[in-house]
Amino acid sequence: MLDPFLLMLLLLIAALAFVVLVFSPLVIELKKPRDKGPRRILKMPFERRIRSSPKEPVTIGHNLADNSGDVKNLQDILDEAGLKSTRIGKDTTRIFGDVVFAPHFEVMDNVVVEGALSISDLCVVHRSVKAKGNLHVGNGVVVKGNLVSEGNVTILDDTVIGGAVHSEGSVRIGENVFVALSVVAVGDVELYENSEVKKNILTRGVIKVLRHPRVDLPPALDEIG
Amino acid sequence: MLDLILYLLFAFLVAVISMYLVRHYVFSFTALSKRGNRSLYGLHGLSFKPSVSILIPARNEEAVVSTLLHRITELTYLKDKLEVILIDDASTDNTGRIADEFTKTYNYFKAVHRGTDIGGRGKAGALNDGLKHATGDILIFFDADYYPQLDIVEKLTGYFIDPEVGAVQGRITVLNEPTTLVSRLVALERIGGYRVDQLARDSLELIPQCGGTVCAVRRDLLEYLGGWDHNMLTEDTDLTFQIYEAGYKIRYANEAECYEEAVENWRSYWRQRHRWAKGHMQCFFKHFLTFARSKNLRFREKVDGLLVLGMYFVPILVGLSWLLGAMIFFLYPVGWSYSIWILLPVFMYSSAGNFASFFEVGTGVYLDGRIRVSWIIPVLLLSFVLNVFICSKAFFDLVLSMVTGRKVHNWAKTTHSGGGSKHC
Repeated sequence: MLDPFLLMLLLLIAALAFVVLVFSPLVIELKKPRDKGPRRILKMPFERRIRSSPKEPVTIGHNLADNSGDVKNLQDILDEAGLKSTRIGKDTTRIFGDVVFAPHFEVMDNVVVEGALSISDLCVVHRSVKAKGNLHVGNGVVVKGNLVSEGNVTILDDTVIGGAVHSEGSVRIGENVFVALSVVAVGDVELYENSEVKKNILTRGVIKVLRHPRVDLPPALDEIG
Repeated sequence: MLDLILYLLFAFLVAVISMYLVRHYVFSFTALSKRGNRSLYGLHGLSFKPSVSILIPARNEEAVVSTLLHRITELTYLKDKLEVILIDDASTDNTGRIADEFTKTYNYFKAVHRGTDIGGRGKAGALNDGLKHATGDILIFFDADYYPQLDIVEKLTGYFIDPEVGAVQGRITVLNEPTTLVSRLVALERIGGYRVDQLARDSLELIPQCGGTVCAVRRDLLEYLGGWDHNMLTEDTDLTFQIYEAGYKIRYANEAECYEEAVENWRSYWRQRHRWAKGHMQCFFKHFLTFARSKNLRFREKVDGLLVLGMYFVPILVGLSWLLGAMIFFLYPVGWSYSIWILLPVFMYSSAGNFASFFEVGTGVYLDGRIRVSWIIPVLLLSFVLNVFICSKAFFDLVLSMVTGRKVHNWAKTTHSGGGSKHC
């Protein structure tokens, strides 16, 4: 075994060597700085390189409520359906598990779903919606706020989105859909030519515009004009 | 018996420090592995334009405030959606007059003057007064010595399309970095703290924090929370934990950069860090149990949050481990190979740190493309040693005020010389 004092001496020498090794560059850099800093003040907004990395889809689960049209107490509906939920602040509900909003269902709150969400036909959502899984929006739905998904987003025909659409996966937009703000996606964005995105479509993937299916009119209607 | 107690205590200290060590390793590797994977939420700022109120609490800031106000007039955000409120917190210099001049020229500027009867007792009070006058859906706070990017409002507000997001924090970068050794030190801490620490916590969906400046919050959330707590010295940390307990998330927007004038001397550094340490410890006692019991948080968020709350106790534990290590070494000599365990806390803290640890800073400067500045990383040893004393004193002061029942704490304001303006 080493003598403790010899050990201390060795440690001291090691410490001194460490100090010399580590502090020499420090002194050099302080005396003759060659660093390029401080960081320059950026002028160009949103300097980004876009890359594609779409996520895998998540399975959609059980029903939230029947077609009762009850809009007053979302909490009771969730309790009846056996779904765990909590409140976020005063106007947002967090739901745990995959959820389907039944047709004609009307939601007054912001909703955050810790799973996949399917909004059935003709539903009305007065605020914003976020799903941690895939987000499916049916035909003729009105969402007055934003749609946010950490998975893929599908919006069927004749739906109106009053805000923006954000997806960490891909976005598929059907016919006659109106989006008042931007669509931002990590993956591909696909939409029909008769749908409208009022602001930007920004993606790390590909934007595909699909032709509106040509429907041949019956001869009688052709004659009418 | 005594030796067993000492060894157990020593093992406990090493275990606590090790947790922080692992945490910082995870953060550094996360920042490195996700460096090209930027969030796209900020892009929504191009079209999503909520009404925004910018709050600037200022007390005796005549040297710097006009630079910030001029810069705000240049912001690219829609002026009809923007409101700027400068809260003159009982200033005795020309801060109030400068604010009044701007209100005459720009119709979206407002000045709120606080008298000496209510003003000058901390930032929380000034911000609460600003909140009363704010009409925007989103509130953004800047300290008077800050210099934001032109499109910072868009970059911060874009995240609010997510209904789960309660607040968004931007990146703070030091403007007057080359001025003194202290400003260089603070710059390194900021690089590690934001470029790596906050970014990784955001990527891992842990607990990114509101920094009290360059931070955007929903107004209705702030009203729901009842504004800022006057008694807290670090109102930003308090707000952070209130937001999480309410069920909201905080996002970190690395692309939203803002430039600050860092402290330039050791005295200012000590005063600032002492306030931060004491305020953080206040938050520990206020939020520890509530946060641990919250139903709105996942297990990993709770673990990270509790580590954040305990962050300023770590230097004290390090100090204790030094003393304990020396005691064990001299009282109970063992084989030399065991001695390395006595030095372990020192090396662990050197790696883990409590603010922006050494390898986090190293990772940060690498990600910023500034390899040469890593040569001055050893200067962090100074703050490492200094923070043992700062945090110990802060803890002692806090315990003293708790024992004596004193609830009002002196708010040590950081003075700004305006030296940063020449770098704008």
